[in-house]
Amino acid sequence: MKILLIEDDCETASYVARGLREHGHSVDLASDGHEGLMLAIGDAYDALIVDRMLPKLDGLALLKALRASAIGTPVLLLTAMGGIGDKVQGFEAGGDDYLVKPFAFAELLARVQSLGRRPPLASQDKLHAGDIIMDLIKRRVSRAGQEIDLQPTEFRLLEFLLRNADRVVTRTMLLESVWNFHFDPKTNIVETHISRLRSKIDRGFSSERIRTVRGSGYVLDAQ
Amino acid sequence: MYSMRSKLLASAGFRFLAWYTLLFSLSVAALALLLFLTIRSSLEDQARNHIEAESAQLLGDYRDDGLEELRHDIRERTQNHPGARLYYRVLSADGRGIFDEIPAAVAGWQRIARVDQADLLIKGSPLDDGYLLLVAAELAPERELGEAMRNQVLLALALTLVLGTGGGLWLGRRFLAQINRLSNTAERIGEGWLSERISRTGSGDEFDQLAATINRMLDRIESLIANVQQVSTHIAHDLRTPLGRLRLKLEDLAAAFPVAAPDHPVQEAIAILDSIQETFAALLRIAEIQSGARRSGFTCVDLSACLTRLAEDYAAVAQDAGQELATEIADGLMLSGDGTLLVQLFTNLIENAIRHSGPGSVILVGLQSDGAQLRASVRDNGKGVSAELMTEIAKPFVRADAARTTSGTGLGLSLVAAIAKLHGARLRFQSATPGLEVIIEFPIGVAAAPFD
Repeated sequence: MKILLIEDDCETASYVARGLREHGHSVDLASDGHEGLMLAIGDAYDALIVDRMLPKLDGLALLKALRASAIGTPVLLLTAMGGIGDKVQGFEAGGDDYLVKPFAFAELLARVQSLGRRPPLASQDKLHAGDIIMDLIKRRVSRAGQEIDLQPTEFRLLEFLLRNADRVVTRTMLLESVWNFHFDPKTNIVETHISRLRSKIDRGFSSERIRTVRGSGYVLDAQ
Repeated sequence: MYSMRSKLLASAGFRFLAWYTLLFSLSVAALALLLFLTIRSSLEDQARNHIEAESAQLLGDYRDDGLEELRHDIRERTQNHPGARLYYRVLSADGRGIFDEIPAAVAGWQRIARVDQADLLIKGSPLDDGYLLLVAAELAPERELGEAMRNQVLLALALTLVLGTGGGLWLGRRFLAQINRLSNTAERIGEGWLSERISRTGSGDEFDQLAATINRMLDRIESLIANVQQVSTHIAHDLRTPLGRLRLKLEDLAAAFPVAAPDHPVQEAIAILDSIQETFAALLRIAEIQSGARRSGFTCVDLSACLTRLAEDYAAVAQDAGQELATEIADGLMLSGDGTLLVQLFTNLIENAIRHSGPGSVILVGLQSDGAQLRASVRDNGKGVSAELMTEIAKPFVRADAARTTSGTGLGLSLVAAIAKLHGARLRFQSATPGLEVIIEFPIGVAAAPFD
């Protein structure tokens, strides 16, 4: 992926850029809002990572200017402000995802990769991943033609994994999209439901489709 | 209606006007009395002058022409003016008298009250040889004068009372309307609408000036709060950025150990850093909730659906912990609120129950309505909480002894309390013998009411 990172904190920027490059992405850096906006308008990126507090032009203003110029590149906002109100503002300005500092690099990586290839909206009524088929209209799931009975939460969990097949999804991403939890729960609710889903999906099959990625999250293999 | 009336009667403006009316009525009465006395004394003066002039004239004639002429004069006077006239009497030394009956026999001024007749004012003037000339006038009957005046005075008093009371009510109402304007604004500001201001009438009167003063004060308070928020945002930024760097450096370090065990010092350091961040985030969130700013984002939340879904998801977690989670949730109960925060509230309560009630316990999540309020509860039959701790556990950083060994910020219930308060709900803890029951009572409709 070709990523533009707009971040004024030099140290954070260099760590993040280095990490992203190590994972095979190409990264451009901008250290203030103006420069960032110029680069974002002038070049085609797959994703932008924008710090909310930037010199010259703050992150939200940059985002608004970008959207006003009809540039729809997915944007991940980085911020030190973790209020619910701040998050809402970020999404209203046209942000696609929001990450509060300090964050784990794995979290950032997973979110950026998830941003990169968003599936086209509302076009699919079936999701496929190898022999797993999810019918979004009839709310049915089958593997290798065999019907699998899922609880509503397990269905939503699998749907999110399918939409992000072959990409790592983190625990936080699951909490936000499946449970609408914008906080860190104290129990292993994610692990519990993943393990139940796993036992239903993989029972009787030789290959495990939902893998745990240590220190990062989970990945559903497309094949 | 009744409350409006009693509020009006209790208003300072009305009380002020009631006193004012009373005082004014008293002064009207005093004025009437003064007027009465003045009129009476001026009528008496008039009679006195009249008597004085007559006496002088008669005495003059007497000096010139003697007693015969005096008699002649008097007779002439009594015959010429039979109606409104003075009374005359001439007394001899042995007490025999002629002309009118005047019940007096001494020289000088006298005033005689008579039964059923007007008072008499008499002047006796000595003549020669022990004779006495008496000239008298009937004073205007006091009662008639009093009665004539009383009617006017009563009318004036009645007018004073009507105008005073009417004016009092009108002014009281205006007064109340102004006060209500102030208190409504104050109430909304108390609810967190910090940018509310009292509307100005522009009349420049005392209320308008008061409104202007209060508005200036509110501007100042708002800017101070904005400053505080800005400062905490800056603190958050200035602290989180280095924390972020620290975390990235630790991760970098951890990467040097390919199969880093979770109990490796670097992993432990990362875990500590994450728990610092968690406490930090919880404190900021409580501050954000307490500011009331979230209230502007209230929507209609299906609490029944939200609780049912949470309970379903946590039933699995409880089951894995060897516990049971049951529900008693009535259908279709809605309230106006912040869905994200309500989810967090009930998640905290359910997770607390799961984490602290021990294996084998039963957790009951309930939601009922009694028409006036929604009563949500999370109950367990675990170890419970001691009575003295019951009132303390919602305070920041207070944790039950048994909970000190488990992870957590000690802010969970503070967050619950803040979210409940934001929704106008009452949070209660009570012993479920055994175990703990946490009850949240949401007033129906009230959460939405301030936005009318």
